Amino acid sequence: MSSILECRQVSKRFGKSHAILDATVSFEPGTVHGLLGANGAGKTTLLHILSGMIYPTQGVVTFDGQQVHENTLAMSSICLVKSDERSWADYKVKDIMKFCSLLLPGWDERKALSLLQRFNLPANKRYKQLSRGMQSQLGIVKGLANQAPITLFDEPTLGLDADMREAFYELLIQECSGSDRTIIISTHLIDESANLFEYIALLEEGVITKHQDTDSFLEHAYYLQGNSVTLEQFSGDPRVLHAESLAGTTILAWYGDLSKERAELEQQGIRISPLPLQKLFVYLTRKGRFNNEEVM
Amino acid sequence: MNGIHEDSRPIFQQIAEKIEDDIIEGRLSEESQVPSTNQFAAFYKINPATAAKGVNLLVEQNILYKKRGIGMFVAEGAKEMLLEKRRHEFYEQYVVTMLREAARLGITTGQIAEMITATTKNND
Repeated sequence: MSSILECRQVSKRFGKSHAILDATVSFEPGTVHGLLGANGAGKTTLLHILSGMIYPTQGVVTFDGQQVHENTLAMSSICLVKSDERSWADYKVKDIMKFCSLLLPGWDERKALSLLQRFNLPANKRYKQLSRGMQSQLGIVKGLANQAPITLFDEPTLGLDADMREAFYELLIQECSGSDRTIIISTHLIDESANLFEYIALLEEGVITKHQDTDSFLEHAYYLQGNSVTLEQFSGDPRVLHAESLAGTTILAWYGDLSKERAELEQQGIRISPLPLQKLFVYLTRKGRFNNEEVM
Repeated sequence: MNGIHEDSRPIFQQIAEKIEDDIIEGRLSEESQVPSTNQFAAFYKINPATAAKGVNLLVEQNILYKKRGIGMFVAEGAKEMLLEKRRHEFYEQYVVTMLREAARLGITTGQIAEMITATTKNND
């Protein structure tokens, strides 16, 4: 089965403020997407809308051409793993697994058991008694054992230690190797998960400002480091996201075409190195906020 | 992450380059099978699509070829092709970069030649 999840001109208003504004985006089958955004940018709201859990104020979400909302078949193909599964609070791990096996059509019991073992989750503890990291692990079990065509993870690594995060990344790579599953993950741990994402979706104050493959997203992102006098020519250049100077040396975070200037800059001793995804994210969102403040 | 990504180039290019190194240094011989993209993905902890992109880069250059239903193999003559390509890149990558740094440090071309001669003698 290979079907596209799409949302067209989706907006969500809470009272007077927009949580999501005019989002149009599509997710191809068999791809892994990183959904990045600052706190309060609307990541959780967008994931809830995509999974049919809440209604958009405007616009439509479709899966395989069918409207998702109020559509049992489409909704059963989409699995949302919330960062906090409130409805699980009073139930024991083993009961939650029972619910999952009854309610989720793509449930793979054997995979679920092996994941429970892998994470060493106590069958008789209630969800609310689990540590934050264990709650996340149980969510991961749900998302990976349910072989849904579309799986949305909202902050799946919340509270997980470094070892368990690595374990999650490895499981995820295994899971999407040679499969048609589409996986969308929101996260704040950008650098360590950057290599998992084939595509990056950037959400800024409810607006999807970028959605493109990770390589081309990063292709034009650089650090330029060198003599302040040489780099001064770029002050005010829209491609400069961020600038810092110390004792005659300037570091610029650059986002844009550099092919014209590159050779000459290198000739002049400017060092050009790649900008990591997390830094690019920080500078882009910071710049966005700054511009908005100026407008106001 | 297993030697990947602390680097300036996209990851799929780095994957391609690692396979190239394996062929040049003889770890992967001609007509032998290359690990699958899923194996590369698991080993380097990267998205399988990215690994596939790296492998396909080498298929396009006729370094690797696909045997339907079996997997990827190193093409005959791949090593010679790669050596030729790397020799071309050597000038840009090492000579030009070296001369630029030398100019910055005030090292003359004569001094560089002396260093090279001395190093080769020591290594003999």
